Amino acid sequence: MIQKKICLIGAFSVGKTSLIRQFVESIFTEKYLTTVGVKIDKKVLELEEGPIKLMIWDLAGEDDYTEIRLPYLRGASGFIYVADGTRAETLTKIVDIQEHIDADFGRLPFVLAINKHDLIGEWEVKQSHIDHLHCKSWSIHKTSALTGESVDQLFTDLAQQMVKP
Amino acid sequence: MSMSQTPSSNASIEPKLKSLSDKQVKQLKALLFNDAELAVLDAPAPTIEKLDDPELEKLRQLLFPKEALRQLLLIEDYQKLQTLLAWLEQHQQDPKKLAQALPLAFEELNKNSTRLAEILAPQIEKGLHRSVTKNPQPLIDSLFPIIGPMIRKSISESLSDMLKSINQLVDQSFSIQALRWRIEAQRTGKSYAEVALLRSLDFQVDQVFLIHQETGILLKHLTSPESLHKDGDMVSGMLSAVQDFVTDAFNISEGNYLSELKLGDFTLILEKGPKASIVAAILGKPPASIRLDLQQRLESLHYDLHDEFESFNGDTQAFDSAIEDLESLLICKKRPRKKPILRWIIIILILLSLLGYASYKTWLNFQSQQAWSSLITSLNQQPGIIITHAEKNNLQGLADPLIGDVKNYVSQHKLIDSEVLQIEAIQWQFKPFISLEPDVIEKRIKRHLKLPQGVNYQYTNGVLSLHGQTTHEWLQSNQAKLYSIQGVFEIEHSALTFTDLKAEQMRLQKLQAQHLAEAALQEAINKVESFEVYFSINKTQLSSESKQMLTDLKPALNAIVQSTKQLNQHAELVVIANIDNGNGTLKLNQQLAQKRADAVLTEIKSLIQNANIKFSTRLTSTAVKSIELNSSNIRHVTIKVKVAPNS
Ligand SMILES: Nc1nc2c(ncn2[C@@H]2O[C@H](COP(=O)(O)OP(=O)(O)OP(=O)(O)O)[C@@H](O)[C@H]2O)c(=O)[nH]1
Ligand SMILES: [Mg+2]
Repeated sequence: MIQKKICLIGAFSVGKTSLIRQFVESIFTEKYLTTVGVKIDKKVLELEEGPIKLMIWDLAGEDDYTEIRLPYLRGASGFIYVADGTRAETLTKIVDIQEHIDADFGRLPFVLAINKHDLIGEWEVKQSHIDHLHCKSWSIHKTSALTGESVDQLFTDLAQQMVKP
Repeated sequence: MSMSQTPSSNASIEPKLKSLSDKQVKQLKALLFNDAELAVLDAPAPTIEKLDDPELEKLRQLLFPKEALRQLLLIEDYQKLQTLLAWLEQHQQDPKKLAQALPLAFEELNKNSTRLAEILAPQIEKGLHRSVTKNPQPLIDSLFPIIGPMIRKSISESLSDMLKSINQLVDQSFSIQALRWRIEAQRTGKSYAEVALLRSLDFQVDQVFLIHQETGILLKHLTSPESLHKDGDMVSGMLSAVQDFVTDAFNISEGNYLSELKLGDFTLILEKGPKASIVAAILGKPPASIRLDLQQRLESLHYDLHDEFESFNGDTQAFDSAIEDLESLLICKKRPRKKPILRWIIIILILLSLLGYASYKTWLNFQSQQAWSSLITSLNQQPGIIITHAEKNNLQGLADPLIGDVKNYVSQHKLIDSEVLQIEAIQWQFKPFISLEPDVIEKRIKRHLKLPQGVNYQYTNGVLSLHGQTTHEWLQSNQAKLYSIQGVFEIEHSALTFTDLKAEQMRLQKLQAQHLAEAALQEAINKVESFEVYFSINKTQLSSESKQMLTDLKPALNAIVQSTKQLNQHAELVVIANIDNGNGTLKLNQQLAQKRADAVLTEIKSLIQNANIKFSTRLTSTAVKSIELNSSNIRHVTIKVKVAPNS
C-alpha cells in the first residue's frame, strides 16, 4: 500500500489537532491541549486509484516560519495549512509560511483549511482575502473540526493531489 | 513658594510642553489627576482673569481649556507640575543609561557576592509562578527540549539500576527458576511478576523496524510471536520525529544521531543509514553485539534494495524482500538468557553435590548394613536371645524373660550403633522362652536365690554348690526352692556348716557313728574269725573250695579296713595254723603248718588292697583226740583279728 507523510502547519490553537482527531477518530473536544513537539497519526483513505495510508504529522502550532522545526517537514509529500477563521492574522501568517516552505522544499501538494467555520458569527477572515488566494489556485476548505464540516474533503483533496501522477 | 525660581524654569519648560503631542498630554493628565479631578477639569470654565505671567498663562491655556480651577491650581501646582515634568524627562533618559550600566553592575555584583541572586530569587520565582498560572505555554515550549531527554535519561537510569540489582541477585542465587524468582521477589520487595518479567528477558528482540529515512514511513515491521504488537506505523513515525527533534534541538552534527532510546522495559537500538534505518525494540538489556548485527543487516539492505530506495514513492511492497533478512535478525537474536559460565558452574555444582549426596547415601547405606549385621551377631551372642528372623528393620526371635524388653536391653548394652541405625525404626518381635545357657541360669539363680550372709555358691554343669555358714533350717526350708530354679539339677551342701545344731548333738552323732562303726567292725571280725580251713595230710595247697571261702570274706575284710579307719584304729590279721601232731615228725609238721599259714595269708593279701593293716602268722599245736587223728580238722588254719587304736 502506498504510504504518504503529510504535515499540518498553522498557528497555535487554530485547530490542527482537532481536525486530525475529527478525521481519524470522529471525535471533537472543547478542551484545548496544546501539542508539544509533534504527534503522529495515520489513516487509510480509499481513493479511486487505490488505498493510501496517510501518516499525519501534527506539528506544534507556530506563528512564524523561523520557529517551525523544519526537520519534521522532511520527507513530507504534502501539507495542510490551517488558519483560524476567527483570527484573521492566522491566515496572513500561514500564507507567509507557505511561501517559505514552497521555496525551501519545492512545490509539493498542499491544501488550506480555514477552520472553525461553525463560529461564522465571529469570523474575521475577509472573503476578499480568500478569493485572492483562490486566484493563486489555492485549494481552500472552510472546515469545522466541531461539526466535521469539510474535514474529510480536506484530507481527501490532498491525498488525491499526492497520488496524481 | 518663591517666585524667583519660576521664570527660569518656565523658560526651559515652555518649548517642551509645546512639543508635547496630544497623546502625551493625555498621559500627563492621567498621571496627574484622578478621575474626579479630571471631571472637574473638563467641566465648563467660568471666566477668570488672565495670569500675569505670560508663560503660565500659555500653560494654562494649553492644559486647561476649562477655566474653573485654574486659579486654584496653578499657583501651587505649577511647582508640582514642573518637578513632575523634570521627573518625566529624567525617566525617559534613565532606562537607557540604566541599560548600559546594568550589565556592568551585575558583573560587579557577581564578582564578590551572591546578594543579587538572593534579592532576585523571590522575584524570579514569583514571575515564573505568574507566568505559569497565566499561560504555561511559553514556559512549556522553552523547557520542552530539555525535559524530554531529562525524563528519558532518568527512566533509563532507574531501569538499568533496577536491572543491575536484579541481575546481581540472580547471579547470587541458583535453584529452580520460578522458586528463585519467588524468593527474589520476597527479598527485594518487588512483585513476583515484575521479577519474572525482568528475569525472563536478559534480552529479546521484540520488534524490528525498517524505517524510511526521509519520510519516517515504516517500510517493514516484524514482531516476535510474544510481542504486544504496538502500532508499528506510529512507533516508526514517532521515532523519526524524535530523531529529527533531537538532531534539531541539540544541534547535533551530521552523521550523529540518536542511537539508543530507553522506554520502560524497552530499549530501542537505532542504526541509521542514508536511505533507511533499522530499529530493534529489545526487552531487557541488549548485548553490545546487537548493534553490529543491525549495522551489517542495514548495509546489505542498502546494497540489495538500492533501486527501491531511490524510487520510493510510498509503496512499501517493494521492500518485501527485506522481510527474510529482518526476520533472521528477530529470531537469531533470541539468545539464552543465562551467562553460560555461571550456568556451567551451577550445573557442575549441582552434579557435584548430587554425586556427594549419592556417595554419602551409599556410605550411609553401607554403614547401616554393617551396623545391622553387627547388631544381629552381637544379639545372637547374647545369652538368652535367639534371632530367628532378621530383615531390614524387622527382628524376630526368642528371648528369655530375664532379658526383659529386647529393645531396652539393646540400648542398655549399647549393642546398636545409634548414629547409623535408629532403634525406634526397628520392629522388635520376640517371644519368651526358657534359656538353659549357663549365664542365664546364673542370672536366674541370682534373681531367685536369696542367700543368707556368709553363704556363697558356685554353679557348674547343673550342680549348685553351696559353701559357707548358715543354719540347717535355712537349707531345709529352701531346698525345694533351689531345685525349682530351672537349670539347677543338683544341690551340693556338704561344704556348708550349720550354726543351729548343738555341739552335744554333734558329739552324740559322732558317738553314734562310732558305735555303728564298732558294731560293724565287730561283726566283720566275727565273720573273719569264724573262718576255718582244713588241709589233708601232707597237703599245703588251698583247695578251690577253701579259696572260695576266703573270697567270701572280702566284704568283711574291707569293712574292717573301713571301720578301723573311721574309728582311728588299726587292725592286725594273724593267720594261725595248727601243727598236726598225730602223724609224722614234728619238724615236718611244723614246716607244713607254716606253709599252710602262708598260703592263706597270700590269699588274704590278694583280697585287700592298700590296706593299712598288719599281717602275721602263728603256729599252734592243740592236743587232739585219737579219733580225730585222721580227720583233717587237726590240720586247720584260722584267722585272728587284733584291733588297737592308732598311737
Ligand atoms: N468552535 C470550534 N472550536 C474549535 C475548532 N477546532 C478547534 N477548536 C478549539 O480550538 C482549540 C484549539 O484546538 P487544537 O486543535 O488543539 O489547536 P491546535 O492547532 O492543535 O493548537 P496547537 O497544538 O497548540 O498548535 C480547542 O479548544 C478546540 O476545541 C472548530 O472547528 N470549531
Ligand atoms: Mg495541536
